[in-house]
Amino acid sequence: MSTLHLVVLACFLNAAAPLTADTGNQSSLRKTALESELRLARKPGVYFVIDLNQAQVVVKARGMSLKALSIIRKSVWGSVGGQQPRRLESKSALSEPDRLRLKPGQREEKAPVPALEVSDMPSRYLLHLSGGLTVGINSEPAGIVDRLASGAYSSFWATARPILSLRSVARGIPFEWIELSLSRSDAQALYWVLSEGTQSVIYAL
Amino acid sequence: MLVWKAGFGNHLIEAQAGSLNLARLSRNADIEKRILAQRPKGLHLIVDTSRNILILKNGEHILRESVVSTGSGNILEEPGGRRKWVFDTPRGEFQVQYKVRNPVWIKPDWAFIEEGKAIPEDSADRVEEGVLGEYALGIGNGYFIHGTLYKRMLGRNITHGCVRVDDEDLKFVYQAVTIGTPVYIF
Repeated sequence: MSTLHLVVLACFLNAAAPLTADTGNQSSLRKTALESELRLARKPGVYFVIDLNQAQVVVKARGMSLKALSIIRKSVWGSVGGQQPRRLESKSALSEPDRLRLKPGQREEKAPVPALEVSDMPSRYLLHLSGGLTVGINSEPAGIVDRLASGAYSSFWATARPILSLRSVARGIPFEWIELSLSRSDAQALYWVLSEGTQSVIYAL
Repeated sequence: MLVWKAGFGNHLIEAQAGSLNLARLSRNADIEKRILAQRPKGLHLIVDTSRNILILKNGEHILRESVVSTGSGNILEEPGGRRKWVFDTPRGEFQVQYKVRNPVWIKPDWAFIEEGKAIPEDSADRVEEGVLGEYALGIGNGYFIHGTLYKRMLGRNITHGCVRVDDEDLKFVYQAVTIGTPVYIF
């Protein structure tokens, strides 16, 4: 396959509209996702749900909503949803917050403790779920620097996505990616709340 | 006749498809009900570490909402690197395991290391009174929901993992909950 063919294929994959589930299959996919959530709800522990239909990311325990975050914009690549629960394997961001390392003896008794807050969390990051699914979390840019960073990310993503798609095709692995845009505070809160090992369920479109 | 039969057959196929979809919807609705049935029906506590809020609920009703302090997430390493502590408030589902009036703090090793002091050999030297408030709820593994002297710091992530609550709010919560009351921390 010549370079020109590869470029044309890459452009096609890039321009391909995000996939939606076949209408006739939606009910079955939803059933599988519901059964997955029921299994999680029956066990102790916090899990999260990405509901693309309701445009919400919800942190839950025992089927109870603890924190619901609105999805402002979403895009989906691949057949996500309607599967077994997916485990959050890792989070990655360009600038990840560093935990403060205390030095023995340096803190005076009863003195204020410096510590990370939610506002120190990144608002743009990736959630790597089991099964090869990546969820990109973005937020609306605020300020010039943020807008520049957002533009850079969008440009990078427009270039990287077709390459990642081709790589997946070459490896025989389905390419699965969800891009979600939340408010800045919601994106930061979600990063704060989710830790490695947290289970998730995806409700597809 | 043939045209009539074909028309009737099409309606029959549509009716069958409609029935199948209805059955699927009904099945999904049943699973949703079973998920909702897992929710706690009585008293339970929710701690939101991102907003530093504690909520006491009875089913769907909020009985009390309180600003609290939760874990700083800071890391302390023992000189020599033998031990390391991460001061996070644990996440997940817990239960109130014990209720204590006028709790006394038995300072663990990290408290002395953090202050640069030697770890005492006599356990009596670990006792510190009056720093945990009037009430404490134990949720296991050494973590408590307790009172605080540092009321101006409520709303911030500054503790060593425990949940610090204002005295008035904690009194209300302490009197309401029982051993076994679920506690959800996220």
